[in-house]
Amino acid sequence: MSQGLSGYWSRPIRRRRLIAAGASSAAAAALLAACGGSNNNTAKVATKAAATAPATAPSAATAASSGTTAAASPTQAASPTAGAALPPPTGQKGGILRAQIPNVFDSTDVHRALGDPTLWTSNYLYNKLVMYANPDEGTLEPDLSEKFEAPDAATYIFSLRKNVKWQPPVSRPFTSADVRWHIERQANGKLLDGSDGGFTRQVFYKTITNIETPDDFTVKLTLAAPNGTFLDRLAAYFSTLPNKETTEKFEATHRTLTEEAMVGTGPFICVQLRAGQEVKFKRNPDYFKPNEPLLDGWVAPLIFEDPVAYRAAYLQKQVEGWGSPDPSQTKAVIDQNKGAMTEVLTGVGNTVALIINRNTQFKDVRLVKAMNQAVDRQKLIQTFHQGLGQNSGIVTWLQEGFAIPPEELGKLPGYRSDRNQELKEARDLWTAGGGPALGDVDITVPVTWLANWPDTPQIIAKMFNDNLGVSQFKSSQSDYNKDIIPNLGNGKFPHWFGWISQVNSPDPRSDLRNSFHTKGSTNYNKVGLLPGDPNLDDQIDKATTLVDLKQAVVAVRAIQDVIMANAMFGNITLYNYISRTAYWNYYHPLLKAQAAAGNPAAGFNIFAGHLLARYNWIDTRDPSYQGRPPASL
Amino acid sequence: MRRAVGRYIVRRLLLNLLVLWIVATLVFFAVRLLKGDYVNERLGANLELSANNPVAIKQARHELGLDEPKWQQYFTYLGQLATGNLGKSFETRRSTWTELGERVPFTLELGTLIALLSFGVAIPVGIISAVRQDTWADYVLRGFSILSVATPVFFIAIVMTFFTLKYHLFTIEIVKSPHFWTDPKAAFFKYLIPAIAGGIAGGAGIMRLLRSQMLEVLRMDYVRTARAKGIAPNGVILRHALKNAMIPVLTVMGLTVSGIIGGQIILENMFGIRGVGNYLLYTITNRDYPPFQGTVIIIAFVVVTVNLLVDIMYAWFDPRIRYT
Repeated sequence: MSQGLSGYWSRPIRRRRLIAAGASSAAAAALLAACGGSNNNTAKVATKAAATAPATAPSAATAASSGTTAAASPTQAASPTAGAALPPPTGQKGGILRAQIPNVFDSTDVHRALGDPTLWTSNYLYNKLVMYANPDEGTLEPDLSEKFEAPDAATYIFSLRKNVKWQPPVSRPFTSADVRWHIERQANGKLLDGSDGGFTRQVFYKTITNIETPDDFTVKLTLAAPNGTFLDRLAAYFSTLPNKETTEKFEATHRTLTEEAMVGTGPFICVQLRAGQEVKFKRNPDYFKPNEPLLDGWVAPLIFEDPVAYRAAYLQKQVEGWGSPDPSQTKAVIDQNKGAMTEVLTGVGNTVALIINRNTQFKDVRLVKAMNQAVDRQKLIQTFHQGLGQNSGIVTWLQEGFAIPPEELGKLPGYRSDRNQELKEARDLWTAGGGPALGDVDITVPVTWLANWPDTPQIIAKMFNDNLGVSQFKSSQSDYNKDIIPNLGNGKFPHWFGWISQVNSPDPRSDLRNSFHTKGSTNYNKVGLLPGDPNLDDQIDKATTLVDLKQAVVAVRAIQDVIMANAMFGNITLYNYISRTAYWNYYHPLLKAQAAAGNPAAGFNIFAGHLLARYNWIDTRDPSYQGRPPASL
Repeated sequence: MRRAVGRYIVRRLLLNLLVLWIVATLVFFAVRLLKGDYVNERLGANLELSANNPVAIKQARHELGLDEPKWQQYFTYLGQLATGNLGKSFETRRSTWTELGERVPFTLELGTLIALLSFGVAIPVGIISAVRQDTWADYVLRGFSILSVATPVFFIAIVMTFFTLKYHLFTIEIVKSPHFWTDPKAAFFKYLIPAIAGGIAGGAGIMRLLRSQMLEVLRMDYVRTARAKGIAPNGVILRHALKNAMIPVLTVMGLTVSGIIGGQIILENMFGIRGVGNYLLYTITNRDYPPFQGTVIIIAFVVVTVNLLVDIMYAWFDPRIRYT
């Protein structure tokens, strides 16, 4: 069954710095990666244990429930991945939001877009079959469907809502035929003229071997093989459903921006989407979810190239939120305006890791363990991100539902606070594994990382030399496109420190399969194939067939235990850092946890733009609203 | 005389064409020396997606002509230039002329204000400083000009912005992009600080040069003769001295105008002005070759043309100059 899965399941590897860290609220502007600073801004994002969820935001403590029914939403009774129903929107209605969105749109066709801005934006204009109720935990709620069931991991049945309409000018009901078209177009991969369309998720949709639409509001999908993560993929930000008529009309000119090409069923209607112009959305008066959206509209100004401009615009309330490339500056502004601004911390999806190539020098797992314990995660967080970050295991802390809780992670090798013990063990492991005999060890750093932190090679080399008591480590520059990516398949990639994958999903099973299954498409370190390696195939295969989230969490934890005990077999995940954003108090963005007891507020770490319509609102009665320039579409 | 000037102009125009061809060639190859291209930088940022979707990436490269050999791209580019075609933006698919057409007005607005402030302040200040040499007025004005020359324009702008925001002097319009003919009030407050900052930075050098030229000219025999003939002091300064002192200053003013047309990259970025300078930075960051190349060529064209005009104006200012 898992043979049907493919490279599609792999997490995207981003080599560019993050351009949109405001995953918790789509209104958070593009942030630049933090540059070095010396302020000690140690901060942790509110975790599941610490968060107190207000009535107006999804509860961070909601766990996946199997078979439980929220009285207000009987449709979830049969949904094994559903959590408690999302609280209804309660904010003030009205107002025009002004906040940036990443606006480099490479296509208006979400089936073919390579860049994320189009896909993120589609979450405000379109809907999905299912959506995340809590993106960090992975609990699901119906979206275009009013009910979804999974009799087994290869069969999924969706009962569609009957009151959904496409936006003007299409203005017809949404039916099961639309779902069929959405799937078949991507699976077939052909354009109207018969040519190859370069459909980015064709591999995924080809795993659907049968689509049944017995009536206008029922869709039954049969997969080639059981896949417990199927619903998770359908809830991801890239799984929005576009309109057939407009997509086909603009198929040949999909790279030319026009709002006419972005017709959906969503809470907002695209009013302006033109090259070089602000992006504008207005409320969809016929949206099928009651009381949504709260906002009348949204104007996304063009991206500020200069942080000074962005800051000046924010201080004059010309935009609602802002974050400096230097988080200490953001903090300073918030502190200067206490009582008028809110600080929000959000985990950044780009994971930082140390990738050790086990195909060459590091065949002995003891050497990899030594590296895992020698690397000082906290020091790196302090050096590069001014303390704004948190250690990550093989499943990052962003993926709260599946990650090893921090208090347990802190007991594992490489994560313990007793650095003396860690280094002693690291040196013993290094010696026992024959580390000194390796000769020079080059930990490269990709140029895109160096663009932000040019002294990283010196820091990395010194850290390993000092911590292992050797002088054999050096660090040079590498290039993702030239040195790393082309050599991943042949096992000749360099060791490297830097970004690996963007965390796009709360469910790590696909990535775990790709990286640690012997047939995984990104198992570049030959896990399970090198002498002495445990074989995780059976565990992974079983985990990926589980539809019930609770069971999946247990299964994934067992897999993680093995992986962590072996220093992640060279795929040494280090940390995910945290972005800091300031918002004026009159603007209420979607939050996972409100500010409380001296702690800043927390945003969702994984993209939650689909919830913006429900929870983002402007409070004109708040004192900070005074002096806000009027906004209009 | 007219024939001589005519021949001179023709020679200069031919030379300008050569200069433009060299600029076009240099910029074409220079941008391609940078790491990455538009597909890498913008579309292929999602590497896993790229690795698993080679068809999509290949298609994107083909659409943009990036899969052709460089020499072929070069000759295609030259052929387009010969017909006045500056290519289409990879990102927006609009012609470079259209993109520039939207941005030049912003640059001209800011540039005109900077020029007015620069010249309008620098010339009288330079004259006063020279005429009142070694008085308190001269000391103050010279001190101010030295400080202005030494201070980077962005620093001046940051300080002004800081004080404006801190003391709520007025609202600096950052997000909107108004024109003077659409929303004069918003445009005024959008351009006020960058114009003053640019004017101070640009005018200081002109003032200092004019002062030194005036001092030299005021000591000339013909000026003494003009005074002796009873011509009023203002007449001596403005009709006799200034005209000669302005000759080298004209060159600097011409360069300033060229710089203005090229766009004030720093000021435009700092204040969200969607002008030519801002566009240059944006396109090169994203490896959007056609508009970057086209913009550089346009700027080069303006520079060589302005320089030619300045050279011609020399003959008007100084009858001794002959073009043979």
